Amino acid sequence: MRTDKIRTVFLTILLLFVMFLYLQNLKHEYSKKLNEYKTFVKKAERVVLLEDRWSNPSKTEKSVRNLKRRFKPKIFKKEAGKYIMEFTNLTKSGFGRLAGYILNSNLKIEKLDLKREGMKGSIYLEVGI
Amino acid sequence: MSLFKKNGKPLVFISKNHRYSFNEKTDLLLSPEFYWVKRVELNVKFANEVKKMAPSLFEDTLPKGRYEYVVFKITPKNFIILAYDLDYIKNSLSDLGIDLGLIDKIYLSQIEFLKDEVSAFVDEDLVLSEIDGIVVLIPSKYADAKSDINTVLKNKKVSKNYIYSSSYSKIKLQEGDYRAIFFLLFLGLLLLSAEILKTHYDIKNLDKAKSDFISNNSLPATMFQIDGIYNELKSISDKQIDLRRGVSYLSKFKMDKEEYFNSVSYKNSVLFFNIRLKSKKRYEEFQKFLRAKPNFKSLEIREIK
Repeated sequence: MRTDKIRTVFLTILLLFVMFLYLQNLKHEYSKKLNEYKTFVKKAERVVLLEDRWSNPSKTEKSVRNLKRRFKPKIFKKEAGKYIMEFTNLTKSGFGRLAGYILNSNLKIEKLDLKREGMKGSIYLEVGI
Repeated sequence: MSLFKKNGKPLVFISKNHRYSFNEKTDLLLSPEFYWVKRVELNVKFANEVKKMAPSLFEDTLPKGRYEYVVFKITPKNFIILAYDLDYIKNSLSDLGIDLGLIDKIYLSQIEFLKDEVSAFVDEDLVLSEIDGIVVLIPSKYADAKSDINTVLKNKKVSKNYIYSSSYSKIKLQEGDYRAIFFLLFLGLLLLSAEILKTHYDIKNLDKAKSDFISNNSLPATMFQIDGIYNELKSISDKQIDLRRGVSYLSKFKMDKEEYFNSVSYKNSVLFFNIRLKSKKRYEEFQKFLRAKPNFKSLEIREIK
């Protein structure tokens, strides 16, 4: 019967409509997830970058080793998650070089004392690992 | 002829022995003279299967025409098949003086009395009756009818199985049109299904990309944890950058000969300094310089005497 065909057409259109609504819902879910993913990746990349810059034990170790080798601290110790160093009897240029090295590095400085004692200088440094 | 209002529209019983004239939209109930009926016993389960066989079951018994078939299952193996030619019906109705534009729906007696027994006078000579499940017109002298068709139809509720509706007839579609529509709808279904599958796949891929990113960078799984770590690292970064900017700012003050910082110390986000300047004026200049310092997020600069 012709009515059967028309009924089938209407039912198919209804099915298409329901599928379309379902697809819209899926697209919305996808778009939401994509935004969440982008935000997550963006923030995670910042975390990775900051972690690498300020909380990278191997980089800290390397910088501290260089400090120790180049400027020969009077006191050098590693305790409670930090390095403690004291440089004394520094000439004006040595003082400037050491201060520059410390401040230009990515060392996590917890405590810093730059002192002038007559014509000599001293630097006390605590670095977090 | 029977005429009464049903749902606001008149329903009229039509037989070939009368002429009709309407002046409003009317539903028609056709007498058995307008269609063909066959009762068959077949070893099949569903009426749809019988419908496919219907043309061959009526082969050589129907006049030439474009027939449509309706099948009803009576008992597990018994089926009633109706064959009708809508063009023939329309022509016949036209011959009876009926304005086709005033027909709303057309019903068949066989379908409407499929479940209810009927025995009613159509006129003085004919009775609409039922023999072995088939609705027929028989001479009144052979029937024991007690009421006329008007009275019977008065309390009769018509089914939804009409064979024609004026609302459908406005859309005059041929077989080829239906094929095209079905093809387009099928295509639409295919495209939508493909898009749904693709979107499902994309969502799944997104989840995988996130978990891969997390495992490759040894990160925690939730945004909440990431936020916590980020805030902590950001605070460290701000403090370290401010310390360096603070020292850099202090060193920008132009010192004269015999002027110098005695000490510069940093602890707990505070930068202490002790400066030696040669005059009070120079000291005021330094204070002015200090007041012009940039804003530090997490650094305080304090002088120690």
